[in-house]
Formats: sequence, C-alpha cells, structure tokens
Amino acid sequence: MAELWVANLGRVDYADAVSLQTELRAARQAGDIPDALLLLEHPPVYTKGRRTEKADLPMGDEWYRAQGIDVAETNRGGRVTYHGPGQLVGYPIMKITDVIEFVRTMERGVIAALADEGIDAGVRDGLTGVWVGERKIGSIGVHVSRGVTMHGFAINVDNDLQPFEWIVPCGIGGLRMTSVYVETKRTGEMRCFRKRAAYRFAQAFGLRQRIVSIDRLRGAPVPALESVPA
Amino acid sequence: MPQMGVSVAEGTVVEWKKRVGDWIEADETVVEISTDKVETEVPSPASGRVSEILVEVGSTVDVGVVLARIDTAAVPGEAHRDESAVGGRLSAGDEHPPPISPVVRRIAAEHHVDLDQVKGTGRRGRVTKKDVLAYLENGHEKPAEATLHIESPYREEQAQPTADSRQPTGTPLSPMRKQIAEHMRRSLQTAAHCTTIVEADMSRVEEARGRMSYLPFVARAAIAALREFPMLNATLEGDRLTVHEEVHLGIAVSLGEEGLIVPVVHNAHELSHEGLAARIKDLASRARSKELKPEEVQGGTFTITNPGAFGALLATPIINQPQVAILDLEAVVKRPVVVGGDSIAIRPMTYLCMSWDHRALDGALAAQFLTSVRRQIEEWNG
Repeated sequence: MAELWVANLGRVDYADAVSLQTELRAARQAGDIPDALLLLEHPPVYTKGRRTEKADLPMGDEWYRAQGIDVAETNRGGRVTYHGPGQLVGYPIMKITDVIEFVRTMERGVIAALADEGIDAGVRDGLTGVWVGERKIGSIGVHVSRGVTMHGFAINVDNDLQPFEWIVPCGIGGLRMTSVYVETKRTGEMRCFRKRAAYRFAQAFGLRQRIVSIDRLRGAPVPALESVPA
Repeated sequence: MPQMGVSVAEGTVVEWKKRVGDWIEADETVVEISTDKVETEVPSPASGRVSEILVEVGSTVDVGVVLARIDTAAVPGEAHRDESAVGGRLSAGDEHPPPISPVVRRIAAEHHVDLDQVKGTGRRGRVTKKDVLAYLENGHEKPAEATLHIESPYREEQAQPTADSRQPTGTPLSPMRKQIAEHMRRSLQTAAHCTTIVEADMSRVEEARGRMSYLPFVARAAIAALREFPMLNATLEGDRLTVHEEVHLGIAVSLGEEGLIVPVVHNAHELSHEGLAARIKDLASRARSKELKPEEVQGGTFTITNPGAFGALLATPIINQPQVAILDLEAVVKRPVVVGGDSIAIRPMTYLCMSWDHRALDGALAAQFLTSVRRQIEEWNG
C-alpha cells in the first residue's frame, strides 16, 4: 500500500501555507516525495477563488480588515470562503488522474470522519462540499498543475461562524454554515478530529498514513535517529 | 478540452496563459480549466506558436472540443508565418508596422509601455527587446496604473465612464448600509414578493395595553396564528422548504440614520405578551448600544417590522431571507367604521400588511393567516 505522508503544522499564515504547498507540489511533480496531506489552521482570512465576484464580499476589503480578517486571493477552484482558528484545513499534495473523482473521494473521507463524531453528513447534488442537512460544514477548492493537487478542504470544527455571515460563501446566497461544535455541542474536539480526518482521508484514497515532520517532508536533513530503519 | 479523468465530461475555461501569436514550449501551461471547484493547469501538447484560440474564457465545453490550435511549423523568435508572408510583400513605403515579438510585447505590457512611443532600431524600424529596455531605462515607465503581478488573474475593474466626466459627488455608503443594500437586493431577486393587507380593530388591545406599545400584542397574535398556519413559519433555501415548529421571531429595530437590525426572540412561542415585551425591549436597547451577540441576530423564522410610530398607513416590506413572510404593523388611527350591523363607531384601526413569498405559498393561505392574526387581536382577552 502506498504511503500518504501527513504533517501537522499548527497555525500557519495563509500566504506561508500557499508557498509551502507550491514548494511541496514541485517536489511531488518531480517524484521526490510521496503523496502528502498538510493539516493546519489559519488565522482569520477570507480567500477568494478565481471566480469570486465583487458582490460575494459585500462589505469591502477595508471593513473586513477592520474586523481583524485578512483578505487573500488564490488560484483554487470555487469562490470566496472563510478560514479561521478552530477550522481544520487539509491541503493534499497528491498526484491524481481524475479531478472529479479526487474531489468525490475527498468528500467521502470527510464524511467518514464526521460520522466518527456522530454527525450525519453528506453531499448535495451539484453542490461540492460536505453538508449536514441544509447547512454546509466542509468546503472544498482545489488547484491542479501537472497532475498534482494543492489547496483542498476546510472543515468547521469549533470556529466562529459569524464571519461567514458577512460574505456570500461559495457564491451561494443565503447559505448557512454549521460546525462540529454546533452539531454535537462538544468543545475541544480539534485534536481528536484532526487525527480522525487524517485517518479517514488516507483510508478513502486507499493509502497508509504516516505522520512526518514538515522538515522531513521538505527534504531537510533529518536527525540520525529517525533515519535508522526500524 | 482534455480528458481529465473518466468522470469529467466538461470543463470551463478560466484563463488563457497565452495569446494568439505567443510562442509556447511543450508542457508549458497554456490554459486553466475549471471543473466543479477544481482548477487545472493544462500543459501544451507541443511546442509552437499559438495560432488560434477557439474557446473564450467563461465558456463551458465538452471533453474533446478543440480549445486552440498551435502551429508546430513555426520557429521561435520569428513572427507568425502568415505575418511574415504578408510582410514580405510590403513595399518600403507601406504604413503597416513591423511585427513585434512576444517577449517585447510582454515587457511592454508589464511596464505599461505604449510601443508606438518607442523608437525601433530593428529591421524596418522593428522595436526590439533592446529598444524597449533602453526606453524603460530612460525613465519612461508609467507608474500610474495599479501594479498587479503579471500572472495575477485579477484585474482592477475599469471604472465605468459616466455621462459627464465630473468628479463623483456624495459619500460612500457605510458598511452597514452596504450590507442592508445587499440583503434587500438579494431578497428581491430571490423571492416572488406579494403583499396582502387586512384591517384590524385595535379596541381590545387599546384597553389592555396600558403604557405598553402595540407591538407585543400583535407579536403574540402573530405567533398564535403561526402555530395555526406553520407554512408561514418557514425558510426557503434554493428549492428546499423547511417548516419550523418553534417560532424564532425577528423584530426589526431601527438604529436611526445608521440603519436597521433584526434581533431574534428565540422560542417566542413560549412567551406571553408581557414576556415578549420584555425581550423585545431588551434586544432593542442592546441593538442600539451594539451589544448583541451573533446568535441573537440569527435563526429567525418570521419577522415583524413596526415603523408605524411615524404615522404611515401602508407599506410593502421586503422579506428577510430565507424566511417566507414578513408582517408590517403600521400606525393605529381612529376611524369611523361600520359596527354591529348598520351603526357607525369611532375605533382605533390599523392595517396589517404582510409580504410573502409566492414561491412558498399562495394568496389564500396568506389571507387566512392574516385573518387569524386579526381575530386574535380583535378578540384579545389575554
């Protein structure tokens, strides 16, 4: 079984996460690393997909920044969304052959992880992402270059949902969001849920997960102990 | 449109990385395609010159459709074959400008240089890379335009030229007004608005209210009617209608010139009119001092607006999305009305105006609901 290298990065600025993904994607394209999944959280930020329209962010960038939320542009698919502390973000750097099947598999992994939390989540026809009833819990946006992905998924765990109310998330008017906390009333789930998400994600893709440090993933010299075969 | 996996049937062109006439190497990205939240860079299958782009940005086409043509017989650094053929036939005195290489064109675009202003030293006055670089070194770079990275797909929107070129007057809308504007416009675009009006005799409420306002009485009556007609206590999102059992009652609160906010009395059906009065007062005062918590403006299932204090008689309110109806309470005024058969009496009367979404329900139900509200008000004995 092929490996999926999983790295937990903690809280990372959006721009830093993009440059890290770009670097790892080049390594994946060159065949220097296996498929990888970065798990992290972002400080509050709105990210605009390529097809975001002005009306999706009705208050104007200045107002959002006054609320302490940065506004960043990205090359991923989809329209505007929000990231912030308490939301689990997963960035797969994976070699794929079928873009739609990739998204569908990612959705299945997220749904399985939510089921572990006792949440009955699913997909909705024509609306990419993961939903609990009419409310959206997980968003997806991907960019593929030379067959390797970047960007990925974001699942609301116990983040503040208010910032979603100030925009038109995904360009869908009247869209309401939910989170693991809203659905289960349990707090402090992030550590646990992060592990479940990585496990279920790897399982959905038929890969064996292996937790690695980010230095290892970037090919930095690893301490001697780690390089000794077990 | 390349086959990007067996489950992909179509794609949308998001951005062309090359223009007609540009040179492209094999495997260099030529176009970006979007398929359901995934943007994919498509590499060029061969080296050559882009001779034709057949599918415009924004168009969605099936897998297999030709997106562009690349002339693989072209030579890098030289003009397009057709262009040079034309050039060869030109006489010395011809006005037709010599072709410009993609490199020069890119440098010019990057630095906003008008190539007509650059003196060419190449064959037939052709502007070479050296010429444009020398032009830039002499400080001709035009800094005025917003400096966006050349690869950025985002371009500042050009301001629409107005009928006259005067400076725009007025002040920009406040963030709150912008948000209200957006919500109202979106509601009108979304819902099939229709307004139904009934007249209610407020005599019994007038007797009961003492120093209280009319609003909690009308709210209580509306809640009772919502329990009777739950189709009005509903939210419609896309084509999904959710009928709610609990009544979470939104009350529009004016913040004066600043705007309007709609705090929500959650589980309003559990409250008496006194309880409602206390909750509404509390929410309104905290709305005005901006102390509302986020959850206190969310989750409403029905809204009441009450601008009647200013003397207006009728209004057609805009529905608070994704709810399906909004009840408007206007001024209570004394009017002569026919009572008890053929007598005329002076009574405090009001109009109850309700806008409702014709996508979710029909006029008969709206009228039945309003009649029920009127009955609760006219027979008030709480």
